[in-house]
Amino acid sequence: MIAGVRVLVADDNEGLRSTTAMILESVGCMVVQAEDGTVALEKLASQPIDVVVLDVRMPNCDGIGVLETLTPAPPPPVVVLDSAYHIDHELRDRLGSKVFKYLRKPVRPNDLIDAVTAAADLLKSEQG
Amino acid sequence: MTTRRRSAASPLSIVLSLLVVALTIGAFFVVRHNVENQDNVLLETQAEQVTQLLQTDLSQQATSLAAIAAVAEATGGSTSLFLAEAMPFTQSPNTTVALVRAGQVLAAAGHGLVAGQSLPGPLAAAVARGGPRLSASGVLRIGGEQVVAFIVGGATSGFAVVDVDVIHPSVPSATAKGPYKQVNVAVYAASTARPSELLVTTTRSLPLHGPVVDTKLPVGSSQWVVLTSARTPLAGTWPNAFPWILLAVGIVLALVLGAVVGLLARRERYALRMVAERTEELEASQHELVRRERLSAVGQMATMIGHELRNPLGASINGLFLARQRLLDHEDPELDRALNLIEREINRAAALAEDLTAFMREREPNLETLDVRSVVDEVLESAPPPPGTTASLPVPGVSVHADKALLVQMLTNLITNAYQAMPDGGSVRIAASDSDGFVEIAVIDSGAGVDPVTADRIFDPFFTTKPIGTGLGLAIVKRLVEAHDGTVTIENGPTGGAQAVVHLPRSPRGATT
Repeated sequence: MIAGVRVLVADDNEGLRSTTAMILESVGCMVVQAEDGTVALEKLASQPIDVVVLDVRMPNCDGIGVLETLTPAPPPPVVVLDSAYHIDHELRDRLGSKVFKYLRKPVRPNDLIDAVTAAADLLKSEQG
Repeated sequence: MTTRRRSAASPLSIVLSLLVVALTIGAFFVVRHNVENQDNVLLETQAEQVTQLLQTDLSQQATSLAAIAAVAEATGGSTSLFLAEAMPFTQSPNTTVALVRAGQVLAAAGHGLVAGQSLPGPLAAAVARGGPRLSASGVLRIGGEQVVAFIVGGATSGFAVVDVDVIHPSVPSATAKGPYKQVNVAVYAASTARPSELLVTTTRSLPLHGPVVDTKLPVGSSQWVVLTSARTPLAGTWPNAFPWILLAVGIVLALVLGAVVGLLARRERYALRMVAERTEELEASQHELVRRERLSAVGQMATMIGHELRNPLGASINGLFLARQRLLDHEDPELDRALNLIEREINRAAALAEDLTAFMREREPNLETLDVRSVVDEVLESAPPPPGTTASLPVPGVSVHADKALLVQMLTNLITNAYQAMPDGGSVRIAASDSDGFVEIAVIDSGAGVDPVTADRIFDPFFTTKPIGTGLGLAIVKRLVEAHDGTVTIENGPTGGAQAVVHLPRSPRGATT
């Protein structure tokens, strides 16, 4: 169930960020946008976010930086959109359960919707 | 490792050796000639000394006999006075001195003749030929003995003093001093060295051999001949040996020089060959470095393009999705066709971006043990054969150490390539086997096979013979295989079609499982 899920979309590419937000809003999500990692962390600290859709390469703190300083605790599930395998196996092992799912750009919209839905379901099951 | 060959002697070493040998032989002959000349000069000197010695002896004898003849002349042939004068000269039993007149012996000192006897015929003839000066008879054979007679005749009285010496020419005279020490001498009572006229010799080895000096010894009106030869090298042993020593040293020197020059020439050739090989290697390395630098720049550009394309492609895909959402209730086949075209072209662009990134990606394989059949099954599920084409799985039981994602990509690209080789359908057989420390995975199609003209470019990036595609698929396969320390080849199969064969080491370096 994805309706009402609060999603933070963080990507420095305006076209991709806004169309992603529109797709998620079209299936009932409430979307907050951030154009870089610093803004993403500010948003995470200032309002409740259920799922994060996070680009890796961003200015002013990239996706890895966001993951490493993620608040609040417990952090929300994060779907990482990786464009060029910036995250190798070693880094994936280090990031561990901070990342719910990795998707490779360009992401098919249905794959994104499925991933956000699964993340929301996990959160709901954890919250009871 | 270069096999060492025994190379032939260098021309230079041969020439130098021959030159030294030639010079040595020349020097040998020159020195030997000089030594021989020296020997000859010394021999002539010795021969002169010997002849002078003999001459002196004969002179003394002539003087003595003349004195005795004078006494006989003055005393009217007094036998007592004669004997008194003559007796000192008959110390040797072989010598007889007789006072003779008209062929009769008037008195004789010594044992060979007695007073009152007639002179033997040959002796009488010799006395008859005599005169006031010393004369010699030559070798006479009297009574079984060989004798030589020296005669000094009285000038007016007819007396003659005859010194008869028994000779034993076959017995060499022992000589150990003076000029006879180094030479052999043979004296002949004739002007030529006739064996029958041999008077005395210092050696049994007659005729004399080697260089022989022939000197004349005047005896009265006769000419005797004295032959002289060297017993030992007159110039000395060392000067005579020197030419041979020089020859031996020269030959050894020639051989050593030839060997040294040959060795140096071989080393120079070896060094030059090494320099040429190293230069060739360096040039090849330099070319490779330049090529890699170029590829690196191209690669960086390709990587950047791959990255930068993803965001606009992502936005385009999202936009198309949103547009389709809006148009769900509209039936417009033309619009649908247009949207489908957009989606198809976006997918092609996405595939290019994916290939560019995959080709340039540097990533250490994350190795794990994988069942080949299971991985192929997964690949066929995501890349099923098109209509009219069949694909078969490999036998179970073959496992390989590889990075799963990379192996999936490798096999996906090879199998997709096989499909594209059979546009009208066919069969793709995937085989796996395990031997000699390698796992072999083969993808065999029933297409047209590999064009021999382009076969060596088949793994080049961006090379394609198809109207569509990036030309990176097989280049990506090669990179991924090489990241696993493996090899990949694509050749024509034995029954037509192409077969792509990947060899992966069973335990590549870095294997952790």
